[in-house]
Amino acid sequence: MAISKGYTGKILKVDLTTGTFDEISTEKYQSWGGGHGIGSAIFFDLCTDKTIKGTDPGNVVTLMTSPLSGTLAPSVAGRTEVQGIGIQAYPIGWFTRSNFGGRFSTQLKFAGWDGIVLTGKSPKQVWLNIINGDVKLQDAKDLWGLNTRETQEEIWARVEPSKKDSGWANMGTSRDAGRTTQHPAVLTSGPNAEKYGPMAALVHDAGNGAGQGGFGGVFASKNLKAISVVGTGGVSIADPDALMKARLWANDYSFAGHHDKPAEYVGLVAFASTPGRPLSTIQDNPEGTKSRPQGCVGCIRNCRGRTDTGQGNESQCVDFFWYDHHDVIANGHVTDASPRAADAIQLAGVNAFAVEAATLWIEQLYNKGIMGKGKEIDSNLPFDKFGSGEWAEAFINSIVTQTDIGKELCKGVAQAAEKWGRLAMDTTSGILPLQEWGLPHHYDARTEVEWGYGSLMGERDINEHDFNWSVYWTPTINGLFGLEPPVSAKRLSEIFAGKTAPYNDPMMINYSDEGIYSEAMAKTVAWHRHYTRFFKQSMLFCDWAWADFVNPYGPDMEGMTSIGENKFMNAVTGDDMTFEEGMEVGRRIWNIDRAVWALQGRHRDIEVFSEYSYKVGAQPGTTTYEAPYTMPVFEDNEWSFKSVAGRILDRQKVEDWKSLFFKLEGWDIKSGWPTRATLEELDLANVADELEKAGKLGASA
Amino acid sequence: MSETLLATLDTKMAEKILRRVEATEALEAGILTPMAGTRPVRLFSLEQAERFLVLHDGKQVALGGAWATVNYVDPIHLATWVGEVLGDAELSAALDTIASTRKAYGYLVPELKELIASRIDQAKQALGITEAAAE
Repeated sequence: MAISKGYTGKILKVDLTTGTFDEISTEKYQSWGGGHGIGSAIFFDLCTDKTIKGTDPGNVVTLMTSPLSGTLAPSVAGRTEVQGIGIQAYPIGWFTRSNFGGRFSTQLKFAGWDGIVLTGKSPKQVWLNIINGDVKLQDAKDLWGLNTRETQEEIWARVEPSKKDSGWANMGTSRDAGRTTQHPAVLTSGPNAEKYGPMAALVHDAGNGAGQGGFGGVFASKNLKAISVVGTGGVSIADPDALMKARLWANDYSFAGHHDKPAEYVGLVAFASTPGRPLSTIQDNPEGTKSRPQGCVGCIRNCRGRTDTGQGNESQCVDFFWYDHHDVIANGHVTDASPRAADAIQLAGVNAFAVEAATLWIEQLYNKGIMGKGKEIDSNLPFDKFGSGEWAEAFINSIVTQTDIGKELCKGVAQAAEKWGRLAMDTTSGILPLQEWGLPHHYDARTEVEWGYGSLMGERDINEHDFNWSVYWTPTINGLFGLEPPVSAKRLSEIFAGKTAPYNDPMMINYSDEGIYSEAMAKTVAWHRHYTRFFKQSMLFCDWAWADFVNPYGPDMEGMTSIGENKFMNAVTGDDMTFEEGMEVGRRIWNIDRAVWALQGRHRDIEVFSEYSYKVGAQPGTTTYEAPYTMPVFEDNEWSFKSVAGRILDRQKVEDWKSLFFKLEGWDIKSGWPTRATLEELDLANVADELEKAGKLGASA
Repeated sequence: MSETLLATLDTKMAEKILRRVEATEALEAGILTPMAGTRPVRLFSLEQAERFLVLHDGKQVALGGAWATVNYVDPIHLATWVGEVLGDAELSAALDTIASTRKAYGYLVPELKELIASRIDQAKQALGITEAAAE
C-alpha cells in the first residue's frame, strides 16, 4: 500500500555519535498517524534501554510533524511534537512530550521530511542544518554560549547569505534548487543549557517554546545546540477541493464567518474565539504599547502579538503570567517588568511554568524569613525589588549561571526543594505548588479532576483545555457576575456525551463529590487521553482551537469536534478514517506510552498526588489558592453548576478510582501495567514481549 | 470622596489601618486568568486591597476570550483580615455585612470597594493627608 497524501514519506534519522544520516520510511509507521504516535513507535523501536536517564546518549529524541502540517487545515499546520526521555519530572524523568508552534513543522515538510529522529551524542558541539534534502552537522562551538535570539540570528546569517540583497534566498547552487523569502525555522536551546537542563526549554522564533520535559537540556546533553530547517517544496494534498470546502465549512464555526454580527455568547470557547487579539501581549505590556497579531502557520487564532517597543514580542500566557502579577502588586499596574520577565525566559530558554511555581514558592520562603541574605537558604537576590524587572532578570540569570539559589534550581524545582530539605514539608503544606511528578500545579486535581487524573496517569501536566473552557471557565466567570451560563449544565452534559465516542456517557462531566470518583470520570480521563494522544499530539490540532465542543455558531451550541477533525484529515490524506478509528489509534498510542513508563518504573503505588491535594483545600494562604471553582454537578437527580472550591481528595477513593480506570483501560489493577491481552488487541505483541521480558507485564484480568 | 457611616478615627487608629503589614500578615487574593488558572497574590495594605478590587463588567470579562482576567479576593476573608490583621473591627463588620448578602461577586465588589475607599479617606483626613500632600 502506498503512503497516503500529506506525508513526505521519509523521516530523517541523525546519528549524532557518528555524524551520519539515514532515512526511515514513514510508511512503516503510518498506522500511528503522525506526530506523537509515530514518535512513540520509533522511540520504542530504537531506544534499546528505556530505563536510561534523559541525558544518556542512548536517549532517542523525535521531532515529528503530521500530514496536516504545512496545509490549509486551520490551527493545525504549525505545530511540532517533541518526545524522548525527559529530565524535568521527579523522581523519575519519564518518557515525555512537549510541543511548540510556529513555522518549524511547515518548513520541515517543505524540505521533504515528516520528522527528525536524534540518536547518540555528538563528540563535539554541533547544530543541524537542513536545506531541503541537504543535511549537515555544523560546528556550534561559537554558538554554544549564545541566547536563543542570538543563535537564531547567527544561523539565519549563515544559511541565507544571498537574502541580504534581494529578499529571496537561493537554497542551493542549481537553477531548480529552490528559492524562498522565509528565514530558516530554527529550534534552539539557550546558552550552555546542559548546565540547567531540567529547566531548559527549546525556543523557536520569538515566542514558540517546548518547555516541559527539559528538552533544551536533552539537546545540550547530546552536544546539539540547534536545528535549522528551510524547504522550498510543498505538501501533496489528496483532495484540495475537499480541503478548501472543509475550510469554508469551518468558517461558519468561527468568528470570521460572523464578524459582522458576532455572537453574544458569554463564555470561553476554542475555535470560535475572537482571532487576532493578542491581549496577553497587550495587557502585559505598559499601557499604550501597540501590538499587532502574530500566529503560527495556517492558524485562525493568531494568539500572540508583536509590539512597537520590541519588548515581550510573541510571548503569551505563562511567558508573562509567571511574573506579571508580582509586577502589578509591587507597582500598582503593569510596568516594563512584565515584558522584561517574559523576554528573560525566552532569551535564556527557560521553562516558564517551572519558574512560575518556583517564584510563588520563593516569595513564600522569603516572606517567612527562610530565604534571603544570611538566612537558612542564603540568597543575594534583590528581594527588596521583588516585582521589578531587575529581580526577574536576576532570578533567571541565577539559574542560567548556576549562581545564588540558581545553583540548586538549575537542577529542577523539586530537586532543589529536596536538596534544601523542604520537598515533603512544602508539598504537604501547599506552599510549594508541585501537583504530581514534581511538576507545577496548573489546574487543580482537587476540583477539575480530569486535569489532575490525566496528569497523574500520564507523565506531565496535560495542559489540554478541551474540557476546561466549558466545565470550569464559562460557569465560573458567569457565576462571579451573577449570570446564567449560556449553556445549562444539563445541555452541556448532552453536548459532551454526543462527542465523546466510544463512551458517550452524559455523566462524564459530573464533577460532584461522588462524580469525581465514578466510572464515568474514568471514561472522561480515558477519552481525553486517547483523543489528545491522536488528534492533538499526533495530528497536531492546536489546543487553542481544538477540541471544539461548545461553539456559539454551531447548531444548538455544538462545535465541530467528532466531525471536523476527520473532515480535514481525510481531505489531506485521501483516507476515509472515522472519528472512532482515530480514537482507537489514540488508545494504541496511550498504551505504548504506558508500557514505556512501566519499563521506567511506573507502578500504581507511586501514582499519587502531592500531599496537599489530600490534606489542604485551595484556601487563602496556600500557593494553590483558587477562587470559586464552579463546575457541572449531578446531584439529587438534577444537573446544576456549583462551586467545588476548597475540596480535598479522599485518598482511598482516589485509589478506588484508579482501579476503575485501570479496569476500563484493560490494565492490571494491582500494578497499573498493560496486559498482554490489551496490547495484542492493539497489535502491540512486541510491546507485550518486551514488558514480559522485563517482568513488567500486567497480569490478565 | 466617598461617604461612610463608620465612626471617625483617631490618628493612632488611622495610622494602624493604613500601615503596610508584615509579609506573614498579607491578605491572600488571586488573579483568575484563563490558560493559567488562579494566580495567588499577596496584598500588604488596605490601599492595595482597594486598588485590587477592580470594577469588572461581567459580560466584557467573559467576552474577553482566553485573556480575560478577574481580580478575586474572598469577601469574607477580606472582612476577617481587616478585623484581625488591621484591627479595624468596625470596618470588618461592615464588610462582613455586605459579604453576607451572598450576592454574586461582581455585585459585591463595587460595594466593598466604595466602603474601603471611604474608610481610607477618613483615615487620611484624620492624619491630615491631602491628595496634594500625597503627591
